[in-house]
Amino acid sequence: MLILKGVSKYFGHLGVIQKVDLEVIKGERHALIGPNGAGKSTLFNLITGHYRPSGGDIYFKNTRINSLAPHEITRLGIARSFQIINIFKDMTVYENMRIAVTAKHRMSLKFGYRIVSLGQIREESEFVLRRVGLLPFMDEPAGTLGYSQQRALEVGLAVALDPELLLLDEPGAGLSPDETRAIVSLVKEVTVGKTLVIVEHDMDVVFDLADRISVLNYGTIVASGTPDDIRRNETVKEVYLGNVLEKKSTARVQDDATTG
Amino acid sequence: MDSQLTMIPVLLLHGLVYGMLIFLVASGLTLVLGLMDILNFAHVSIYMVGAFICYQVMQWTNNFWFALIAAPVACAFLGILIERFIIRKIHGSGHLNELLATFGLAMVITEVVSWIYGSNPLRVQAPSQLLGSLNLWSGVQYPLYRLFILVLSGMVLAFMFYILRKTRLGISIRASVQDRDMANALGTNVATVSMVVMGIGAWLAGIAGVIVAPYLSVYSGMYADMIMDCFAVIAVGGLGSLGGAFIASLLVGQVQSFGVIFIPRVSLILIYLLMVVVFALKPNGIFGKKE
Amino acid sequence: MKPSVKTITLLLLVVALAFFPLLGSKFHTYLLIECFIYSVLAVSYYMLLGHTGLMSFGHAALFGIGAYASAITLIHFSDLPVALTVLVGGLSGLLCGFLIGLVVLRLTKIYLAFGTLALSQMIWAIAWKWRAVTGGDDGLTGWSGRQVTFPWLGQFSLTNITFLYYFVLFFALACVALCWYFTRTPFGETLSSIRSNQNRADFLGINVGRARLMVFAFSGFMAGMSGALFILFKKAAAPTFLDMSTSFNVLVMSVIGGYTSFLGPIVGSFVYVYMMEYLSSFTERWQLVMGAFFVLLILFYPKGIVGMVQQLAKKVSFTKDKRGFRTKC
Repeated sequence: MLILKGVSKYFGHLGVIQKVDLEVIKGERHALIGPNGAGKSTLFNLITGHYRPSGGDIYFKNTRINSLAPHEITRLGIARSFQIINIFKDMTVYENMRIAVTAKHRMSLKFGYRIVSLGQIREESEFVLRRVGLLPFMDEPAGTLGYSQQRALEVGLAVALDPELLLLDEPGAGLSPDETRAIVSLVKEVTVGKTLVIVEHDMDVVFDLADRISVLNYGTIVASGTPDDIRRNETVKEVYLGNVLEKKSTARVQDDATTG
Repeated sequence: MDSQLTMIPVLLLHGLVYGMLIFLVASGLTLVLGLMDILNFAHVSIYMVGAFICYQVMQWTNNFWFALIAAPVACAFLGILIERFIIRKIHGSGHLNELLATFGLAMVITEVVSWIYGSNPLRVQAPSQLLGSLNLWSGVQYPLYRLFILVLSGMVLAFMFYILRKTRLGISIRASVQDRDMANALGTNVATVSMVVMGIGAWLAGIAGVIVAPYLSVYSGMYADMIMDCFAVIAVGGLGSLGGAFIASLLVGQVQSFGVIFIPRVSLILIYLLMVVVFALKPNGIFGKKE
Repeated sequence: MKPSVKTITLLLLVVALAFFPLLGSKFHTYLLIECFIYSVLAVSYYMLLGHTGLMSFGHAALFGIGAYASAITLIHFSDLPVALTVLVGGLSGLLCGFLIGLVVLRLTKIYLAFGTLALSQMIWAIAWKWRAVTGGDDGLTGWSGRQVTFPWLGQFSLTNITFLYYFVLFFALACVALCWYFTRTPFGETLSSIRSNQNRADFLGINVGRARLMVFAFSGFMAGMSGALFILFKKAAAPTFLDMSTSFNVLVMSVIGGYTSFLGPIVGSFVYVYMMEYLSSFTERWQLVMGAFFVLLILFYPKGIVGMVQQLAKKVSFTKDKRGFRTKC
């Protein structure tokens, strides 16, 4: 579905991403992990067209997307959510969703009719809002919502586009454990039949969700494989000083044992 | 053809003179922009006010040198007042409100000036010591007054360079312009620095205003003419980059100088065109900060 | 569909305006014409600034081009019906708006303000120097005595203030209604999304560049229309229509009324015209007073009249909510 071959990104002389090879298989849930500053968000920016690669190629469904603009890439079927909440704060929750749904239907520039007359868009918007649990808040200005609700909207906007490839950048950032669980189950629900790449720091989430994991450090992929592969990988252990992954792996084994 | 060739060094000098003048004004604009992220439309008004104060002082005392001292100081005060009462109040209300406030202020100042002095150009006589021209090399005469502008602005700018590079104040200023929050965190009183920067910028603009008075005369359209040149400088040189502004000022000065002679009808438009092209290609200017 | 209080008030207002010339004084009729024309200009600017968040400081160009284009048409193509020359003004504004929008396509905020100011100054400079076409400093005149013919209604002179009133009112209502309609379309909401968060709009698959071009063209059309109406009213076209003071005046109107709402600029333009009229009877320097008033508004009441009214309305409904809240708990 998504292939990165030798992708590099330089800002001046600073090589933020260096010769990254990555493959995301259709239908899988792929987690991208790595220490802060490793370049995960930059990778997302490259894939979604915000930055142009200094070198290498990016292929989506066998189409080379290096030089496409963000909105063109979105239209090909890639949608992204942001680490820092990036919603339309001075518009209502419903309007936020409506904008996304209208964009999905490619009707954003139409002026032949009034927007209130479009029943299907209304239905779809309410549907997605219900799914992310925001329907009761639909007439509130998005900026007045609590943080976890804004997070839900943040993810919801990407989901509303019904993309084939969903890129989620730390959807659980700043959330409490309960809220994180809620977001994770939401993500599981909405990514059925879709391909997902998720950037996450929370290892619980990563090992719970991911089919495959890639580890990014200093702009290069140091490891890529199934969760077990990653758990056993020496380089990765070095990167994370070992402990975090061990704790998680033993906890999981215990969990699996008890649930049998 | 021969006279065309001998004109070239003269035109280069003209361009240099005008470029230095522009930089005197644009430097203050650049510093405030880098420091407070506000484009102070009223800064160029201070330049104009400087010219008018010079005219008024000449009316009272007929002493150019006195005007050269007094007017820039008055302008510095004006700059500080503007910083204190307008810039500080509007800072952080959003880019649009900030622009509107300074733009509105500039329009008001222009109105005040044409109210008091009318819209016809006023003549200011250069001091007698600076009249006449100097024989630079075979056959090339150059007005003494313009050489004076060059020398004076050179001295002033060298002085500014010294302050910025070698004094504690200068370091505080440069730090604050580079990264305001960091400078704040490290103990620099950014509010005081802002005030000082406005004061110094206004002082420089005032000097430019005084110098330009005998050269281009004093009129209420000075604002419109200079603002475009300053904008061109900032567009080409980059917002917040002093070095870039300097190079750009020299460039714009040359364009004006050669443009007026070789393509007179279009020279004004040339500046705007230059700006527009730079904008379209590189919205951060050639030397600008990366957004 | 039950009409709301707002709709009824507006309809009543329109009816009142329609009957005004027959009952009111010539003086106010004259002023109202100017109000209508400036309303169109102000609303055209709202589409750019208030609605889409585009900080254009060069709106004078769109107004002025419309004015000059229709003036030139009136002079050199005097066979054309006057209504058509108004449309010529609108279309010229549209073209100009599109071109300006194209040049400043990737710019935002300060850079956009600069770029649009520079472009409009450039256009002003060209108009000022190109005497052959624009009459340079002197501007253009020559249609004051022009007769306007309508199929059933007969012939009217441009000097007939009552006729001019209805002529302008018709176009003004049409323009404002069209702008209002556009804000209610998906396109209108997309523009709001660009104002709210251009970055996210881009990532939702919205072609922001095309949307910006469209709104620049649309705003240019409306501004051009107002320019064309203006020269019919003032019987002259002058380079000052294109200089920064005109751009500034549009800003003043928008800010007085409140630049973030649709109604604001309209209210602002009415207040502006009346302020201008009454101030100039006190002092020649009314522009100075207006400018100072503008600066004070920006510093202390940036939301303008509409903003103040909205705040008052909130206070009224807040007291109602307070009661409701108490009964709930």
